Amino acid sequence: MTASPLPVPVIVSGCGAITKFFYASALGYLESRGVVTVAALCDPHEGNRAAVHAMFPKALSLARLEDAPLSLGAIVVVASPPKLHAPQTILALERGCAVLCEKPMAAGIADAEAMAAAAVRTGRPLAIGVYRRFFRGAQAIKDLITNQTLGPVRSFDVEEGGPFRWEAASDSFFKREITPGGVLYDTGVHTLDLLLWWFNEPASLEYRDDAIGGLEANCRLNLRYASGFAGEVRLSRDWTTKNLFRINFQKGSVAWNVGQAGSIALKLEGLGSVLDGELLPDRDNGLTLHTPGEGEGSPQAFIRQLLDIVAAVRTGSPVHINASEGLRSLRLIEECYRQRQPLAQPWLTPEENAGLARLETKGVAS
Amino acid sequence: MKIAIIGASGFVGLRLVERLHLTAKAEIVPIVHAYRSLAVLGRFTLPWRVVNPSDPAALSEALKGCDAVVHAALGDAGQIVTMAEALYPAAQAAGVKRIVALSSAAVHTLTPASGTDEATPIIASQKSEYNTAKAKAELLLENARRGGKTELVQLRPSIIYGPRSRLVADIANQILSGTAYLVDDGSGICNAVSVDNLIDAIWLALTTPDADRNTFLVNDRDVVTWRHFYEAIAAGVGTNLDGVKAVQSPEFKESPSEKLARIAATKTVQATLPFVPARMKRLAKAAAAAWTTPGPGRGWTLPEPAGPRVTEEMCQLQSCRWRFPITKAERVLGYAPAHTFQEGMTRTASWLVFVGIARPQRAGTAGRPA
Repeated sequence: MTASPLPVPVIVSGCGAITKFFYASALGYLESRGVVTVAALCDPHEGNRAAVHAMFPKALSLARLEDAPLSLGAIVVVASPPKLHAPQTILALERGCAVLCEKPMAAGIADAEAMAAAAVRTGRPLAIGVYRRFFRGAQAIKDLITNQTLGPVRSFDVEEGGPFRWEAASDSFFKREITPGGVLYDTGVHTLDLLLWWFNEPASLEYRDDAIGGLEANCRLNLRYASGFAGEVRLSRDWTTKNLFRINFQKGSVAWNVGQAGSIALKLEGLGSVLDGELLPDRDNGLTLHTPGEGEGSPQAFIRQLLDIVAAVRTGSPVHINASEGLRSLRLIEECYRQRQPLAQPWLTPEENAGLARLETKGVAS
Repeated sequence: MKIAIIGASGFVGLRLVERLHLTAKAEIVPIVHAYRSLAVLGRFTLPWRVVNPSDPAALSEALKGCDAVVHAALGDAGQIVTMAEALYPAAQAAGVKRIVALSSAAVHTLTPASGTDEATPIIASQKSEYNTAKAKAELLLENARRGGKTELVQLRPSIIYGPRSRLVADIANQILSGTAYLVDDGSGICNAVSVDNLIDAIWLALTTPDADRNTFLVNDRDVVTWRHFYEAIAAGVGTNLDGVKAVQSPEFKESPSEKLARIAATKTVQATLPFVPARMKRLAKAAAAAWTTPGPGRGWTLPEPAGPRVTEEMCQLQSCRWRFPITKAERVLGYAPAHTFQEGMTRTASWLVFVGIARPQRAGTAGRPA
């Protein structure tokens, strides 16, 4: 008989919305299964801590991560504001902890590179929380591209986002002097991470957004790849989008709705209908009747992301999304901002366009 | 001039910010009720303020230093009234010289009698809670003006269209999905006003010295029927009205579950709900949900495309036979709608493409398999 391994202690740094709505539930499930034990909750705001502490009453409630029991074998979930990701991640790694750092990996490339270097220096696992790579839909698309099941990719288009609904606790998220980007930096991290995972780095890009001195609410990104195909990405925190990834291959196309983590729609050449359904595990390399309840959605992907870092701590297995992978989307975002052009807002009057041009010339609108 | 805009993240408020900021006509202080409302406003670097517009003390603090305030905030019926109650004392305490409040032509009902103009008494008790609240808000502000120093101008637009219009987006999506409908072949009058004409009217209301204590109906110059309105939107999404259903306005009756929901939403019931045991609430909800019209056996149907969902409000809007005059706005404010219906709809159509509701077809790309 093999004894169950002891639960891995988890320290959560940052008890804002992402922790309240995602990490708390996922950790609660894993704690109930004896996989982890939430050892400490750290956040300078007592109100934030209190809401999460109610779910984990045995955990220490601390204002500072520095005061938490950071030790070898523990996992630190860094879910604080992006500008704190680098110092907190480096501190945790240097104390021997494994780190799961929420997206975006850091407030800038230099910080992210310092985090990656710390992971190498300490030999401790650092995973980046772009958890959509754990979605079955995203994995299926990766397989279709890698294996060329439907032939080579011809084109793709992505529409993502919608009216901003997070209960922000301050205006810092919308201030350029505090947060480095708008919808591209926020939603776009996930989108670009998947595109990089699927297609690798683009050969060239064209990026436009609607910022007028502040942070963009809408952006368009046209990407062209060395193998000859191109794609368009439209992101918005302004208006409801279809939240849809569409990839056209030589012999069919696939559509994936971001809200349906475990489902895709397939149009296959020669098939008169469309296949639209749930992705299930392939147990015996064939079509087996599955039992209900095997489908997985977004919550399961979040849990699997945590299990990935637990496995890294217990067995030394590499994490699915390491620091180098996290850096790729940050680099692409930074390149987009570097090449930024204004996005045409065709409803503006000639007088407004003249004003916009004046602001662009002054450098206010970039 | 320094102008506060309450509801600066809404359809009209956001366009007003865009216009005034880009044309450098005035210094802008956007006011919103929640931090999340800054997501689109955050495109600009402006000295925004986040307050509850129903809280007079907080609102007054936010309005300090402003010469004028435009009230363009949306809300439910209760909020419309509480915001109006808070606005006047807050503005006066902050030393604001003039308030321009956006009311609605719905204060005359959605089917106004022929001859209705600004001199016609408004109807403060209507079936629609929204219309009733707008009328009450107008009266509250008018009454406050009688005893105060801050000037007040109220504008009554009806069907506002333009970029970020939820109404236009909904109609466009209905046309594309085959669920749009026209009552009486669309022959009713659509009292349409382009958001850009409305903003011109707001500017005149802010700056015309003799406008104080006045209320103005605001429309485009063009007389437009609902058929014209739908045709323009259909053209904007690259189609026509072939798939739009013709309906006669039905008699609207509440279903039992709708009636229960309405009763449950009343203040009295909401106040007593905490004292009702949870089990009782669950049973009542289950009973309401189960109270449906009997149909064919489960599974014994063919898939059918969704039909139009005909609403009482839209039927009333489309049954309007009176075009609100703009003669008073022309005379007192010098209002001269500069944007034609065609121009306004062309801009709106460009926005439909911008947000992806109407997407130009491109060669070499397939749509979602369907």
